[in-house]
This record gives sequence, structure tokens and C-alpha cells, in this order.
Amino acid sequence: MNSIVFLVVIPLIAAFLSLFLESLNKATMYIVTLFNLIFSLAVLMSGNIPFNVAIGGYRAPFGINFVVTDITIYFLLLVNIAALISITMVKNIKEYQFYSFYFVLLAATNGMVLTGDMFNFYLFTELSTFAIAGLVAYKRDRLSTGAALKFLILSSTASLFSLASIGLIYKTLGTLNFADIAVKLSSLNQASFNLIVILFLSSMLVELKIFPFNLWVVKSYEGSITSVNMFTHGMLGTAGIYGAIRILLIVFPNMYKTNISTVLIILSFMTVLIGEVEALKEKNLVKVLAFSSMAQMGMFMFGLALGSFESIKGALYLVVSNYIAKMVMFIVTKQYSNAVDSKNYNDMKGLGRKYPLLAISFTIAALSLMGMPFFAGFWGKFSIVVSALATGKLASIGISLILIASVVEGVYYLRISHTFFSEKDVNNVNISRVYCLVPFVLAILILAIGIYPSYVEQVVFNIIDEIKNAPDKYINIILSLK
Amino acid sequence: MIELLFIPLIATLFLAIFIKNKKVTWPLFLAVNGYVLYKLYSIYGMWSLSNKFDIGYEILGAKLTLGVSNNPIGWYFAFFSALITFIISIFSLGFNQKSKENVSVIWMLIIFSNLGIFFAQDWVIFFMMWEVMGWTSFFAITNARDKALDGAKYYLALSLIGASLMLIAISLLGAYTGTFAITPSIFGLIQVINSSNKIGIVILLLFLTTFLIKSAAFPFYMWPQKVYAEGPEDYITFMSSVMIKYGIYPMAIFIVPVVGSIDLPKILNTGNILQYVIGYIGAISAVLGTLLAIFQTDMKKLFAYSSVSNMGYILLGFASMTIVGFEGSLFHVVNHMILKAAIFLTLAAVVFRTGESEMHKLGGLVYRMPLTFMTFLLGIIAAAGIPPLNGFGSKWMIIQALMSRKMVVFAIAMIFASTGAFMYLFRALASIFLGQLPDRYKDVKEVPLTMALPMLIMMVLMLLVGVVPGVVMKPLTSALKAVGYNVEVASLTVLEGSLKNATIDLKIVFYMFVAGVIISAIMYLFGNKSETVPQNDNYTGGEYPEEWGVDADRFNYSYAFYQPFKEMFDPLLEAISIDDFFASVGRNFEYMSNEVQALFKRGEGAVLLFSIGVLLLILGGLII
Repeated sequence: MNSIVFLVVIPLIAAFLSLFLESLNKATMYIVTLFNLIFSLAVLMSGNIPFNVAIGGYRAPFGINFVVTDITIYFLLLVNIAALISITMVKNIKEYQFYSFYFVLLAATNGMVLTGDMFNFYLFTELSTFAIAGLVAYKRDRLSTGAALKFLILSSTASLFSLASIGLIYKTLGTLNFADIAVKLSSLNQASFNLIVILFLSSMLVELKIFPFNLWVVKSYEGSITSVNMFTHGMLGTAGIYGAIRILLIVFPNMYKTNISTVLIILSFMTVLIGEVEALKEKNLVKVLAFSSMAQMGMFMFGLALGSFESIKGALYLVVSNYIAKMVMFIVTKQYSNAVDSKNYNDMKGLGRKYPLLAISFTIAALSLMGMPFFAGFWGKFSIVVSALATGKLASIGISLILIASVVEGVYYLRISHTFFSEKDVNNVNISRVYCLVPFVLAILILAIGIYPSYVEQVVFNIIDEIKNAPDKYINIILSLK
Repeated sequence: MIELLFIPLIATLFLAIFIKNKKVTWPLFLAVNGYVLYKLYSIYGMWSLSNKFDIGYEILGAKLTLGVSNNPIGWYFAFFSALITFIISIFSLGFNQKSKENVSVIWMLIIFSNLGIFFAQDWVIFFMMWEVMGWTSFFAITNARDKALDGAKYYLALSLIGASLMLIAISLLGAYTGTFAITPSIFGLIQVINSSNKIGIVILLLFLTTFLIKSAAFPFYMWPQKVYAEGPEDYITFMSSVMIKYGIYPMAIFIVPVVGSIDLPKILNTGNILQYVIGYIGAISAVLGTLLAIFQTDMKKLFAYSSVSNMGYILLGFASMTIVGFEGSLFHVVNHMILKAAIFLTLAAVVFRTGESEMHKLGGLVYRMPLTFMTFLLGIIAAAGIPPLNGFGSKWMIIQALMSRKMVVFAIAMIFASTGAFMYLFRALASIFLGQLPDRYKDVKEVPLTMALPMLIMMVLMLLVGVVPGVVMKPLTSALKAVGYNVEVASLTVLEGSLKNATIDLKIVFYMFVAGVIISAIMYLFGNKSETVPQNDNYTGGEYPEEWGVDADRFNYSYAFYQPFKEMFDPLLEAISIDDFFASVGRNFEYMSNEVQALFKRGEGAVLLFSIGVLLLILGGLII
């Protein structure tokens, strides 16, 4: 399966080609994205997961390697599906810069998910950051330029920390391979371990939108176009989540024995609280989504920081729910805000009556984010609540605060839904009915997972299984000779 | 069993498709309600019916199976809910001809969750249905109208808080008793509490708070008046009569058995602490609801508070922890459903014809809407608890149960509330239907047939249950017997009491009233001829207006009806205004929202906050 490298290489080649292709760029974008999606599907179907690819024939601890395991392949699919859905939102863009950045982003996010090497992971993260910054600045007005700069400054600060941490790892352990680090970490003294984890976490929390590392989120969502929002959410966000799962749970599982996980719990429930409270008074729908996605990531991080398998399962359900729901919401927001030429949801009155499919999809997505039963988010919330109450005092306090925050979330989301359905004359508005279909299908998917979670449960079970048996399932695959 | 849940769901889909077409939706709505009623009737007695779903989800190390099953007390609640809902949906047929919005889709979804709650076999499915009820009610109350948004938001926030508490309670219950199924968890929780584990009491209180929120008891008594004042009237009828009982049902099947059998310190050898907690909540709800109802000027708000006080009676019955009190409470559930539905239907009819719900702007509608008036009259007589109508029997049983347990304070509270009820009920009658007819309502007509018919049915029901309480008490006592309570199946007209010589035969009471009516009819026929007085045949301060050079005018004393009484109670009501507290919580969240947003607007803080975050991590990881 050496051809897995194509997932990274072909988008990169396309990034160069896009300089010359001009009007063919859009077609290339679809072709490359579809290729990535179909290729990853083919890998899933091929049945020889897990496998390990040593780049250039250098075997694992010495060379760079790509690893495909259960976690990898599902996240690969999520990233590529998000890419495909997001590019359907790209309209009337002629500039090659946009396409070039997109291809780089596609390559980088795929690479982040595939790689088995710390430094490689860092490189791909940097690459995706620059791509996103470029894409955010694409609108070229004051707001988006500022947003891109803010994101760049924060993520470069973060990358400094990340680099320092990688340097420390190399200095102390003499290796950068995930599996090798995981094996050798036990010989490391406590202080160095803590320092490495702290440095690495501080860089990763920027991408995971955890307070107080998330100050870039709102501006960059507000300043960029919808498809870029969806890139940030669906591709970068999902790859970041993958990184968190891979690195915290498989490379640094000892973290749960230190106080760092306690700090993470505190930071994550603060993120939820702050995100939800901020969104309460916000009128700009895109910003509401930005705040809410911060809060959702806080919830995910809370599940991850608790560290029990039950809560990790809940966190994974939340990832799925948030992944689909935000996609729906961004599409609906785009259609509605284009129709009335305003992002204030109070101006979108009456649209739900003329285009009920979009408004119903939005409502379903919102209910899923609120963790309502019969929607995908409920199973995540339920698992996390159960395991948080079993964990201890701090986690119980945290989950209580999160539940209070989710009340606030419920109030503002359903108020928005209500606004869509309230009465106003909207005869001169026109939205193509075709665009109503994608969000509706996604919303039905949310409902299906909520009512019958068995299929997702199977996937989640595989992922948890890999985390549980990390030494057998991950480390041995990489370190075994190939 | 399962079709009972599926038919409403499929109906919801169809209603959603035909939402623009009123000629289709409301008859379909009626038909589905009829089906549900019939189906419930047909499954009476088949207590072993159940369905299980395996959804493949694991929690606490075990596969979660969701189950619905037919159970006696659930059936009792579901059947009478369905009966009232069916009657209301006949009313809706006529009522919604004029309205622009269509609430039937969401309403059907609520009926689905309603059935799910009553037939839930485990707490998870109970919770799922409970949550569905919360957000659907939000949409049903606003019904896409902006003016209802504030009340609906208030309700939504409260019910989400309640649901969160319940989720915590269910999780703890699952962790400590090892089961999510409702009946085994009762025994589990009793064991947890009796092994002097404090967490058991916490679980119980969390559940209790959730149910109190839904049943609008003190201190959550504010939502009915906010919601009922703005929601669509026919749906509000459903909400005030049926939905408010959703909090009572889990109390009856869970809280009462647990509180009744745990070892807690007793007070005065009559009841344990929790019993008194429930009792005081009930007593305060009853008294406060009555007092607040007396001072309302909006008729829907008035009867919203009346609902609060009735929920108080039911809680008092539970607090007595005697079988008579328990029966009385459950009997009162149905009685209140019937009489509150009757009253709210008449209010909806008045709003339908006049578009007004402020009582002091109405008046004299008795000649214009005689049938509505009759229904309202019987409704308030029932609400006041006067035989031979239906409110009497259940209140009688509850008061007896309280007295037999020597809970005198509660009995006094209940009697005070019942007496106060006369004040607000009469005030509503006097202001809406009696007094003088304003000119603008001269052409008001009686409601059309589809709306008159349900009112007639309601009148018959009130009288029937009042005279022959067995129609409710028989299924109730059989249900309680089937669950395992030590009760006799009640006879048709006799109400058993818990005090000595307290058994009454309502047939005799009815005959006495019939005799009274006959005597007064004879007096009316053979007495002096009645004289019709023109509306402005009145005098002011003992003087004739003409002598003072002013025209004769119509007077209608209906604004600030109980002003002196209000001044008397104002200090008390100001002192316990829960509304201010909740409103200030909401306001504070909004202030906070602004403050925290400012943090994200400025650019300079980004790296600073980043460093703060790193410091926090270092503090946590290295130093501590």
C-alpha cells in the first residue's frame, strides 16, 4: 500500500499546477478531492488495515512513515468528505491563489492524519496553518486581513512551542517516531515529561480552540467566506482532533497520571462556559457558529481530558455530531445570508417559511449540538455525563457547569430557529432548491445516528479498541520490520 | 404497543407535508387522536404488553435497551390525557379556521412524547421523551409569533435546566443502583438511601426538582402565566390541562414509593422530612397560586395561577403518604384535567370571538355566548370544589388524608386556598360574563358547532365524574391494585374516606342538589315576576346622575377587583418574588456575554492570553 502517499502528493502537485491551469482550476479541485475521497474509501474497503508505509524504504524509527489504522482511516474519510462538501460552496472564484491554498490545505490535513512521525506532524500542521491563513485573507478586506494576521501570529507562537517540545523529545529520547516515543517515554523523568507535554499541548490547544488559546477563532470565522469556514471546521478542525486523540491518548497516555489532565478539564469547561455565554447576545449568525464551535470543542476536550474510555467514546460521538451539524449550519447560514444580504439572523425572518428544508435542517443540527435525544449529540453528552459523575468532584462540577452552559446554548439556538419561522414577507428572495438538499441529507444523517447509533457505535468501538490496546495495535505495527 | 408511538410519528410527517392546508391537517389531527384514544382503550388490562429496542449503544459496560411497556398508572394518565386531547382537537377544528399559523405538527410530536413518557420502561427512554417535550413545547408556544418569544424562552430555559438535572440524576442512579429500568431502580434507590448513603437523597432531590419544574410548583410557579398568556389558545388548553400533569406522573410512580419507604428522621411521628418538604412545597404552591390568581387582570394568567394552586393540592395529597391521599391526588389529576380543559376552552372561545383576554375590557357576554357561559359556570363550580361537580371528591379525599395524618397546617393551607379560589373564580365570572356588555361586543355571536360540541361534552363529563366518580375511580383503583397497592376497587358512586364515618355516597348528594334545583325552580315559577332592568339603570353614590347634570352611564366594576385585599398581601408577595430572581439570572448572563465578547474583539490580548494559558498549564503540570 505504498500508494497511500498519493493522498498527500497529488494535492501538492495540483497546488503547483493550479498556477497554470486558470479556468480549469475548479474542475481540478473536484477531481483531486474526489480522488482523495475515493482512494481513502478504497483503502477502507481493501481490508488490509492496519498497515505501515516506510517512506523511501527506511524502516520505522529511522525514517518517516505513514500509518493507517482504524482511527486514521475514519478521520481520513471525515477530512476528505468535509473537503468535498465544502468545495460545493465555492462559487465564482477565479484567482489561482485560492485553489493553490486549498490544495496545500488538502495535502496538509491528509498528511496530518496519515503521518506517524512527530516532526512530520508538525510540518503538516504548519502547512495547514499557512494555507488557512491565506484562505482567510482571501476576501482582502480589513477584517479578513486582520483575522488572518491574528491567526498567523497565534499559530506561529504555538509552533515555536511545538518545535521546542519536539527538540526536547529528540534531545532526551533520540527519536521522533510516535510509536518509538511511546515506548521510550517510560524511561523519561517526570519533570522532562511534563515540560514536553505542556509545550506540545500549548501548541495543540490553539487548533483545538480551547480557551485561552482560541482568540483567533471568532475573527477568522467572521472574516472569511463560507467555504473557508467549512475548511477550518471540517478539515483543519477534524485533523486537529485526530492529532489530539493520537498524541494525547497513544503517545502521551501517561499525561493522565499528572495534574495536566486536571488543568485540561478546567480549561475545557471554561471554554464551554465562555463560548456559550458569549454567543447568547450575538446577532451575527456566523459569529454565533464560531462561539458555538469553540464550546463544542471544549466539550470534546472535556471528554478527552477525563480519560476514561466511556468519556472518550462520548467525545467521539460529539465529534461526529459537531462535524455534521456545523456543516449543515454553515451551508444554511450561507444560503440565508446571501438571500437577504445580511448576516444578522433577525434579518432572516420568514425565510424558514419559504424554504422550510433549510430551516428544519438548521433546527435539527442545533438540537443535536444541544445534546437532545433522538439526535446524534445526545449519545455523546450522555456518555460524558455518566463518566464525569463517576470520575470525581472536579469533573462533576465541570459537567454541571457544562450542562448549565448547554441551557444557554439551547436558548440562543432555538431563538434563531424561531426567528427563521416567524412571519415576514420574503417574496423577492430566491434560493435554488438544489442547495436545500445537501444540508437536509446531512440533517437526516444526524437523525439516523440519533435514533439508531449502532453503526457509529461499531466505528467508535474500533477506535476505542485501538486506544485500549495501543501497544499491540499501533506500536507493534510500526516498529515491526517491513 | 409500538404502533401507539409510531402512528403519531408518521402523522407528524404527514402533517408537516400538508402544513399549508388547514382542511387536511386538523381533521387528520383529530383522526389520529381518536385512534390513540381507541387504542389506549383497547389495551386496558393488558399489563404485560411491552416492546424492546436494541440500538447497539453501550453505557456503563452494558448494552442499552430501550423499552416501552404498558403499565397501570401510566395507562391511567395516558388514557385520560388522550380523552381530553381528543375533545380539545374537536375544538381545534373550528378554532383554527382563522389562525394563520399551524401548530398541529409540533402538537402531534408532543402527543408522541406524551405517550412515550407514560409508557417508558426505563429512565433513558423516559428522559428522551421528556426532552422532546421540552423543545417541542418551545416551538408550540411561540408558534412562530414574536410576541410569545419571551415566555417561551423562559419555559425553555426552565425545562432545559430540569432536563439537565434529570440527566445527572439518571446517571447517578444508573451508577449507584446498576439499572436504568424504572421499577427496579425504585428498590435500588431505597436500598441506597437506607444504607445511609447521602448520594441517594441527592438523586431523589434532583428528580424531585425536575418534576416540580414541570408541574409548576413553588418555586417554579412563574412559567404558566408567562406561557399561557401568549401561546395559541387551543394548545394552551392542552398544556394547562394535560401537559402540566407530566411532572405528576413520575412523582406518583417514583417519588411517592421511594419517600414512603425510606428511613428518615420523622417529624411529630407523622411523616419523614422529605414528606414535609413535599408538603410545604405543595402548601406554598396552593396558597401562593391562589393569592396571585386573585390579583390578575388577564383571564389566562388568572387560570394559570389557578393551575399552580391545583398542583399544590396534588402535592399535598402525595405528602400525606396515605392511600386515600394518593388516590385523591391521582383522582384530582383527572378532575383538574377535565375542569381546566373546560375552563380554557371557554376562554379560547371568548378570545376567538372578541380577541381580548384582559378581563376588565370584557363583560356581559352571558347573553351573547350562553353555552360558553354555562360551560364556564360549571367549570368554576367544579374548580371551587362544590358538589355535585367533579372537583369536590378529590379535594375531599386529600383533606381527609391530611387530617387523618394530623398534618393540620397543610389542611389549613388547602382550605385557605380552596376558599380563596372562590374569590378569583367569581371575579372571572363577574368580569367576563356578567356585568355590562361593552358596545364593541354587541355583535358577538355564540361559537360555531365544532367548538360548542366539545364544551357540551366537557359539561357532561364534569357532571358525570362529579356524580359517578366511579368512572375514574374504578380504573384508578384497579390500576393501583395491579401495581401492588393494597386497595379495594371503588364502587361507582361511593367515595371511601380515611376518617370515621367519612364515606359519602355522591348519589345522595346529587339528589339533594336536584331537590334544591326543583325547589328554586318552583320558587322562580310561582314567585314574583322578574323585572328586566336596562343596563344604565344604576345610580352613583346614592344620587341620580340626571340631578347632577351628567348622563346615565354604564358601570362595570371589574378593574382592580380586589384592591384592598391586594394591598394587604402586597408586602408578602414582594418578599417572595421568585420572578425577579430568575429574571436577574438571565440579565446577568447577558451582561456577562457582552463583557466576555469584548475580550475577543481586541487583537492585542491574543498572545497575552496564550501566555496565560501556557502559564496555567505549567502551574498545573510542574509546580503542583
